[in-house]
Amino acid sequence: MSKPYDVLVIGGGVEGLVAVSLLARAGLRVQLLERSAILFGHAGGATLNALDPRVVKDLKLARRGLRFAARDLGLTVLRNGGANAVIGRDRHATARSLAALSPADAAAYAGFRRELFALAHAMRPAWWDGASAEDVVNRFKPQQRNLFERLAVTSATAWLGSCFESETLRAALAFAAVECGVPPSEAGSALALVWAAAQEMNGQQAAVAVPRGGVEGLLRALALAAQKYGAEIRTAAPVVRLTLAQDAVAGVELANGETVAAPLVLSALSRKHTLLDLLPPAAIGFGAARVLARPVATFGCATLVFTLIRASSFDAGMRFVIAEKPETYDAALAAVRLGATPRDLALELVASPVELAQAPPAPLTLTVRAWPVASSYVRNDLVRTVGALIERHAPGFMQIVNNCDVLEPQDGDAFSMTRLLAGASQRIETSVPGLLLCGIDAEPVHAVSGRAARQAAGLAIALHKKARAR
Amino acid sequence: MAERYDAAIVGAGPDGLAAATLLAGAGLRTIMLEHQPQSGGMFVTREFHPGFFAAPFADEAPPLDDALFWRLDLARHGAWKIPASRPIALWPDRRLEREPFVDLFAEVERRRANALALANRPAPSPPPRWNPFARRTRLAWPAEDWSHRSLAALAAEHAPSEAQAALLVAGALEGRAADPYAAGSALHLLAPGSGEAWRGALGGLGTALAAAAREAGAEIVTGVGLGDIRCHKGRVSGVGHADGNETAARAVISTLDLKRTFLGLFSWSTLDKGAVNRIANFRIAGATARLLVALSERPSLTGGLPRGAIQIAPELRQMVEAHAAWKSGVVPERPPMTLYFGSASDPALAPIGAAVLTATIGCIPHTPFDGVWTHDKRELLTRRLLTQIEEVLPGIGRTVLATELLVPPDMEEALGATAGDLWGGEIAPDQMFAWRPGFARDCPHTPVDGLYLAGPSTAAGPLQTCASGVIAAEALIADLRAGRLA
Repeated sequence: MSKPYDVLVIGGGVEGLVAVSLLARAGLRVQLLERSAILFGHAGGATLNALDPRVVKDLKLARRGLRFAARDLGLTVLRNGGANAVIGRDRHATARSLAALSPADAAAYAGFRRELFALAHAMRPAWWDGASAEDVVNRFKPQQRNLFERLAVTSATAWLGSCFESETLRAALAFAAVECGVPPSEAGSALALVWAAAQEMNGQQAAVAVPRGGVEGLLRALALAAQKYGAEIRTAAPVVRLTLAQDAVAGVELANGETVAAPLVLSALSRKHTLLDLLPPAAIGFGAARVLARPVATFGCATLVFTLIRASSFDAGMRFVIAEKPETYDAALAAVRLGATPRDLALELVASPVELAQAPPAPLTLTVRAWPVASSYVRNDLVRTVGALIERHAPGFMQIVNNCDVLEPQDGDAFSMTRLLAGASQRIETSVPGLLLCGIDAEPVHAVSGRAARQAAGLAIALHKKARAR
Repeated sequence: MAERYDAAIVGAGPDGLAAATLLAGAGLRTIMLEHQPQSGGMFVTREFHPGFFAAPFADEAPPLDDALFWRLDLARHGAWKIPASRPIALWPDRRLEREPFVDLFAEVERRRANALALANRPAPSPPPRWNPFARRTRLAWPAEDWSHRSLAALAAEHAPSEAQAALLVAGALEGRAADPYAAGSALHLLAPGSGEAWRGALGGLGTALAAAAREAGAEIVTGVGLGDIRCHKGRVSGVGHADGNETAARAVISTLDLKRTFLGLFSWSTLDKGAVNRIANFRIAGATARLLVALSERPSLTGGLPRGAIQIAPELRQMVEAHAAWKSGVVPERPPMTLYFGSASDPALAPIGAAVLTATIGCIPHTPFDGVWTHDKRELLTRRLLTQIEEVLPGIGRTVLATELLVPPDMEEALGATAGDLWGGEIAPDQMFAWRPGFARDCPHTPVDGLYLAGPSTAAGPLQTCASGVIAAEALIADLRAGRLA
């Protein structure tokens, strides 16, 4: 057997690659274990809205091929039989455009955005650096603290409802909450909007960027970085068990029976899968196992990638949101909870940019995020429902569709306020020594930012140094 | 000029009557103005069919504080509490008595007591705000984690079976519209719509409260349409009647809900724009309908006629469905329904051998999507509800003598409650406790000097019967003693 690894990372998504690259960069001997045969098999989505800029900088991703086709997509609010409104970075253009929906909302939007961005910026120490929200909020001025405490119990729908009169605008802005995995009528989901506004892409607060090649483009850059720093990447290596020695992690066992030893394991898989399926129940205690095993309603954002024969009427360089009114979310969620297929979903559409330089030309695609979709969805029903909704705004759309790929909603913890307000170590550490989470369940909300992976890597490096010193 | 009162109380509901008793007892000249021909507000009993009596708005009241019961001397005035009996669930083929849920209800009581203690303490300055990080701060906030718990999860954790969980949830959401899976819905347990039954239905308690107020020396004027609250130089100067008369008073306690009080009784220019906006954004939505049924004979039920609430085939799915329908202004196919045989615990409510059945129905929209409540729609709903009752109590349809249906607009008309909401605002984490007006004793104060807010929209309103009236009365007396009232 070869020399043991310092750290093993399970799962080859964005988080796994970020963690493994940062660990290798610090000089640790690391291996990434990916279940599927190819690394980019499940790369879905066209847009990035939360990637931590420090990850981009530390791993020199720009030098490794991460390019952006669009740096900030404006948001187009699609309306049934009416003028669309465009919300962009240009304040005045936005105000002019919103005035078509409602003059009062056009005036209110600037104030709303200022308030949201200021609070979001003030919350960054908690969500970027991993401090606990309590410490951060305790330093706020009373007025801002009051706003924070109010939003912590307010639903996104209620907050937006108190700010704007146009239902379409309210519904469109509420989409940011479902991107974080929170139903917008859930108490506290207003803070998810704040979390989304605290993100930064290309130096712009709350921007939504399109990398060349979509999320796969980011993964390729990350894989290059991992290789460059000397991390080993092993594909077609599904982990079936974590091996324990004296209650601490000792390594992993693969499906082919091989064991790989390491004193530290970072898992980018979901908390439930990591702690319930990969460990014997006694390892985390039967009480905790029972709590984790409790069935939760599983639904989330599904991504549909339509490959098109020719360009659709949705132009690149924009995000389009289809959600008629705030009740659309509630009605659809109720249907999903009852096991039915909702007729109305909330959709976000992003058309692929036409990249002339690329040869052969990449196929034209329209990436659609749909919410809510149950994990037990029926593919054809979903495609038909989404197609019908798009056809309302782009008649004849389904005729130019060549193919449709569906990426099902990722499972993970349900949204919880505790997780949103907890410090980084609370989210990352598990009750098993040596086992850290670095995936989507270690993030404050259900969204990939690479930040949890960065923090987990930092924690792992510290643990490694401590063990060496001993 | 007419004589000037020390305090005028708008609305002679339970909160107003309790406040009046305390104010008059403290020697203040107190007058109550009520637009209904009788006092009592929600706590009235009416003869809806010759010989049949029922409280039209609710069967049970949120618990009344024992200390207050004796302080107001209600026993001597005829209030008689009926011992509580556990709710049951009824399916066509079986019945189920609810578990006592001792641990859960002890926890509910503890949290409610904490919340009331906070609502009833002198306000520190700056005024307190709810803190989501409760455990480690000085303000041990009672509901910190329940603000993010769902009722369904809480019930699943405590209940031994799914049916028991559904029964618990149905009881907590009685007459309301809420998604039991939404975070924060656990707060419905802290703001119960029911809890205690009184002899003579709720009107028995209402009459006793009114008698106590009269004996203490408060004047109760009924049948007075309310015009507005008059202000002079930024201070309250009295209450204007609909017929143009005025009652002059140094202070006014309004027991109407927040929107009715500030958006209905004031010219908006009196208040600053921020306050008007905040009040307009307070979510109030009615969802309760009531069906009063006179039955010619007592229905036979194996195991006897239950004295407590009967949930008809409670199921979480159905509640989710009904809530979604309500949100879009649709009357649900199968609205959640609670039955109550008033005559089982108080035989005087019905003629000998007959019975009074009341049903509380949740998730009934105030204004259906296809327009206001017409006679046809009411008939249709009544028939639908009777069919639903017939499913679990077969043969009851033949014994129906008369029915009366009250939908949210009727509640609005009768009680002056905005949108017919009996709880003065949606029970949601951002509208409870510190996020309701009037949290902490010095805070029944309103933006207008001399005007105090009691009633369902205040922090204590949905937690306990009469509590908000007592808090407002005590604040008024304290202000008067400190010379803060002109």
